[in-house]
Amino acid sequence: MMTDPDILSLWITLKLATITTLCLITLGTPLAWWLSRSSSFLRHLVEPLVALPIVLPPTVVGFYLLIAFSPDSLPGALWQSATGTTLAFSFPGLVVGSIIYSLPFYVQPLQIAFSSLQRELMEAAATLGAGPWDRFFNLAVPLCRRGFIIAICLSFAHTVGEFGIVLMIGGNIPDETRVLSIALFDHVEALDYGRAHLLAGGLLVFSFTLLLALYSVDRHWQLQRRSQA
Amino acid sequence: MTLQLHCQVSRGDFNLDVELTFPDREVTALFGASGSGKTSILRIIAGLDHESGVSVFFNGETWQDSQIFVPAHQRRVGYVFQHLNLFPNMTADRNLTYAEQRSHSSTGLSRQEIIDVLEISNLLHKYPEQLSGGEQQRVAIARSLLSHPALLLMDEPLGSIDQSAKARILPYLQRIHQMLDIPAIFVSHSLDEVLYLADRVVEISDGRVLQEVDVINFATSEGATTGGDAAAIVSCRVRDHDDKYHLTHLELEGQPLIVSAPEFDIDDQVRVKIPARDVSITRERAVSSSILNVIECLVESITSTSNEPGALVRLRAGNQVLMARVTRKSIDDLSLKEGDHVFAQIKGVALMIDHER
Repeated sequence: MMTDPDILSLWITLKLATITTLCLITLGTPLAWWLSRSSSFLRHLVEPLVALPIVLPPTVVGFYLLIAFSPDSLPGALWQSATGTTLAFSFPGLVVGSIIYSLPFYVQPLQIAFSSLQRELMEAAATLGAGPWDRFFNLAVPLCRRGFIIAICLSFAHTVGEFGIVLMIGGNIPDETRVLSIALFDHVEALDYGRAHLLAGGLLVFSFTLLLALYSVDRHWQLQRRSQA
Repeated sequence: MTLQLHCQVSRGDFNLDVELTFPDREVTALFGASGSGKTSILRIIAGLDHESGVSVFFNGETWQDSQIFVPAHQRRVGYVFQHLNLFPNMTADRNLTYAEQRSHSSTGLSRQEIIDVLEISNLLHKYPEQLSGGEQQRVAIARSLLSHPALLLMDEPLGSIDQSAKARILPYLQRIHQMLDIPAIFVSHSLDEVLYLADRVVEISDGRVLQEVDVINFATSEGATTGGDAAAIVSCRVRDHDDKYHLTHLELEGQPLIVSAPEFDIDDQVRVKIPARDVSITRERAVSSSILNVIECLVESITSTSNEPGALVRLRAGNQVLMARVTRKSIDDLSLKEGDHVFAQIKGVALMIDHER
């Protein structure tokens, strides 16, 4: 059975993934919108920057974050003067790392969805009297709901499964930063395969179920539209 | 109550240089080839494109000048695109509700009136993808009317639908205009649409205004007659209905014109479109002929080029003009010249006809 430390890890993981996803919705949505609409020079720089965590080893991202979190560097110093704690080896540090590491998994599907929005539809809404916020929330968001669901599921699942970056910046503090993948690593190290199976199997089933739900929701929407003839 | 527009816009090698005033309550057609700048003008009026060098004034309000730019959603325009108008994630009904909730004004046609006039009540529960092109455009027009615009703009509203659907939708647009008292501007490259719907025509070519005329003069102008489907528009009064043969007698400059038009009332003033290809010319009035309509005219001008068999003859009947498409051979055989006294024979009685406004 799952032991208390494992349940604590599960709780930390879910908390981390939820907070990270909420932050990504807040920050990543305007970024994806801007990337899909802008034709400025800056966009050509930001686009590869957002995609960078896909190709970089998590340890590289983790290493630079660790340096940035140190009280000797500007971000670390600002955080310390504001909160009195350090970002490294803390839960807030994990959230920051996860946001950066999962950013492409949120932004990219959404950017694709926003780019395929037909310009005429947004313009038609404008001439019908809908202002920019109204157009975004009442037209763009429902039209892109598929993109939103994919982006949310991918970034959530990706945060749940994160390992390398957590190890670099979070360490392995039982009630603070020990997420499921770290706990799994510990069990394997200790040759406790029974508990490792429980966690690994649990993550596998979780990921599969999430993707299954994603695909079936998508199919259901399409069928629903057709049957309402 | 007018719309005024000044544009001096240059985009790469395309220059748009127009100055236009659109009178109240009139339907103006922006007519011209594709790429002439018609759609750009419409988008500028709607506030969909923010160009410098533009001023737009509507009923004493400044919509745009060098300092001010009122965004599209605050301009109270209705805009119908060529296609892709309806929100695909909403039924036709919810598309209408979307417009109603954001309506520009509290006065105007009611939802039921609009649904009735466009005959869309049986389409309301459907999604756009389940509607034909013509049906989608009818719902789109209904939606733009439900926002109670102060100005109606339509960009090739019939451009993406097939010929027979087009013929069915034209009368709807006609009816709408009779019910509304707002100016409307539509873009078209189809002469038929222009002649059928417009009161006034602005012909655009290469970003410039070629001519601004009323539709009756436009029909016989050079721009409208260079294509194969030249036609004249004449203004007639309804004299009486012949119930035995289901025909209607009109009066054109004191001369009878017999058409099939049961929907009009006696003394109505109507506009009749007479295609040039349906008109032939004789020197004497034919006494026994199957042709019902013979109008006495003077030859005003003959336009022909030596590399085509056809020629276009402008005929004057009182204050109005008819046109005839005949062969150059016929002109030589009849030795037709300007100022000649002739008879125009008009084939067919199914003439395109509508109320004069």
